[in-house]
Amino acid sequence: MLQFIARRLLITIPILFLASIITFLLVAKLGIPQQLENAMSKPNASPAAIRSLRNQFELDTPLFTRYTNWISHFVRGDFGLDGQRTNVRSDIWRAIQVTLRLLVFAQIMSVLLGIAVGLVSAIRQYTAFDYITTGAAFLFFSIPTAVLAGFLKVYGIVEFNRWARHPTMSQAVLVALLVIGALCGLALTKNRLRFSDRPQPKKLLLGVSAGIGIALGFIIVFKLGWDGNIYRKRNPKPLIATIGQASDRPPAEFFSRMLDYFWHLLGPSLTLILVGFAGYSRYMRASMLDTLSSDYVRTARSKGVSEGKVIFKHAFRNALIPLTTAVALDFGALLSGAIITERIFSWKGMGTFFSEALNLREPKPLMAFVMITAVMVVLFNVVADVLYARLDPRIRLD
Amino acid sequence: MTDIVPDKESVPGATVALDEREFTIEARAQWKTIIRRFLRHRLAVVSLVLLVLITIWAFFGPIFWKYDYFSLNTKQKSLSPSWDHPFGTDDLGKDGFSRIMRGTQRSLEIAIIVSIITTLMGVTIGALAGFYRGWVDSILMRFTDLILVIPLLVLVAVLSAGVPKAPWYTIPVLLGIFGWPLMARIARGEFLSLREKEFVEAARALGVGNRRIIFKHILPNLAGPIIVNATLTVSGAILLETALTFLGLGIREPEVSLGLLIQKGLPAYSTRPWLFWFPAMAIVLVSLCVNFIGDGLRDAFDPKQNRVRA
Repeated sequence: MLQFIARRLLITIPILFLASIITFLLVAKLGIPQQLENAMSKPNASPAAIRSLRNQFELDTPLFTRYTNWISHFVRGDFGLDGQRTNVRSDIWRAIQVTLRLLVFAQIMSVLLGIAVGLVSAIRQYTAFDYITTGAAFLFFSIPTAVLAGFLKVYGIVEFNRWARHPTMSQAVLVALLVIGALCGLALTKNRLRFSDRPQPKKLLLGVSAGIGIALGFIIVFKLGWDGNIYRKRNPKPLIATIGQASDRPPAEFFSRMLDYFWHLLGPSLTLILVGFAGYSRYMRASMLDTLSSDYVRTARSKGVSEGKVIFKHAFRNALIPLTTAVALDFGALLSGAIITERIFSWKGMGTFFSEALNLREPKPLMAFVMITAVMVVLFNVVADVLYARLDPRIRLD
Repeated sequence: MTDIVPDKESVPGATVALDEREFTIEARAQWKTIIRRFLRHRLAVVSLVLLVLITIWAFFGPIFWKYDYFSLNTKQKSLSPSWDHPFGTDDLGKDGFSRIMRGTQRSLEIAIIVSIITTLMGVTIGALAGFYRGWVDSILMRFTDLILVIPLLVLVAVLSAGVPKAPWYTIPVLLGIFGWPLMARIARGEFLSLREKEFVEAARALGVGNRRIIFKHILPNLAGPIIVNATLTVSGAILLETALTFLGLGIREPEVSLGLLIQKGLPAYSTRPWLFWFPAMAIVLVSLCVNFIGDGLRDAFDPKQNRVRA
């Protein structure tokens, strides 16, 4: 295993090396940095200032020397200075932390949601639940991220915040909520639950009561809870933030800082969760259907193993294997930042780091970004391979 | 007429009337089966019809519509939707309806170009790697890894930022040139398994050359995965174009694409919501249709699947 990992990592070194050369050329081709262009377009531009900027960006050194300079520093962990003479490494480290906060939360939620929904829609294939979630999944991977994030922000969160200031509900809305809640409860309990062979007791009652419970909870939280909301009186700010990854001055106390983070996290992570859910639920559903029709599941059933055990012990665990590797691969790729989502919610993560560096045509930050992204993609590729081999004993690594 | 039914004991085996037992077997070509299966997927058929209608509307609509997509009209700035301007007008008085027609047309063209380039490159590279194996395979697959190491959006954004005055078709060409690795991996996998099959061995025993084996014997068997993946590339390309244009690195004025309309429309959501809503709906509709068609095709080509869909 260790040998395999070592060999895989060794193979990737020339690839990363080549990638660095190609991106270095591309970045050099971008043209002169914005800062220099600004300095040159000034009417009273002093030649000395321009010369010092040209020096700073090494524009007069040959490309090859520039590259060797850069890479000899880069491999030692020195990412260089950007146009403002700040250290690129500390900048990108800050961006990574912000992106990780978003990514870890969103990824965990979307994987859990995707697994749960995919599992149920595979067990209850061709039921209303299956059709509704399939439709939702198709919708979410047909929506451009810009549209989804923009929609959630301006029509979801901003409207919700406005409403949350004076949370009142008309009777018609209350009744509608109750009906929707009851229908949800029914949909969840009505279809054949194939987890156990015992008949379901009083399904209808169970469904209606679950629905009413959901609806009542909804009403209590929003109608009663919010009217006397202390938080709102103390805070003139909107509840769910739509700008930035934290308040300008985040509270010092740990718990309230986490709460502050959470309210900022909600918008962008909801976007990523919906997109991720769409992919993972389809993936999980397909994988689960595949295992459910396999021979060992049929064998387990014919031995008389209970349906719940067949599903969770025999099928579910095997169906998770391909999903695990897909999640690992996605995680590596997503570390480049959710560029669009971050821009719409004004997060200062990796995506924003990249688009700002690209706008300013700053070579050092761009190279650092591309190389870190590339290393992450490669690393998580290896992680995916190793996970696959660990989880599936039929696969040998050699 | 129970008396006609032959007695089981007197005529052994003749439990079924003669004319019922005789039936003709109609030979059905493979593509006929596939079309039949596709037609059974109702959502996919509806999507196909819808997509054809949208395409006709986007390409031939501008001929008949009274406004064009570029003329400014200072007297008709920021009008909300009406019979005269069904999708309203923007802050320069350009007609929303004609801009969405034009944008849909461009977005579809972009998607088709990306899909064609991706498919051609991916299948060629995958086929060479999978068929010849050995060093050809190693080199081509390392090359694929190299391209996969940098996310497509990042790569094309950097490339596109380097040519600020490029014509619109550079974007789809770039997306196609760097978007083929997935297709190549699929094609390679299929080639690796198909080249070991008996029919290829038989062809080789008859003295068939490599070129003929690749084109006549193996490639037709890949039609399913290739067509499905090419379809899904179309919707992927529409979304990627939107993302790039949203960052200001894709289609630029005076060209119009759905991504550009969304980029322009989103900041105006509170004052002129129609500038966001109509392009958003157009893009979702097109890409939803393409995805459903892809799903239908996947089901139709999957030989393991023969159950009737509910």
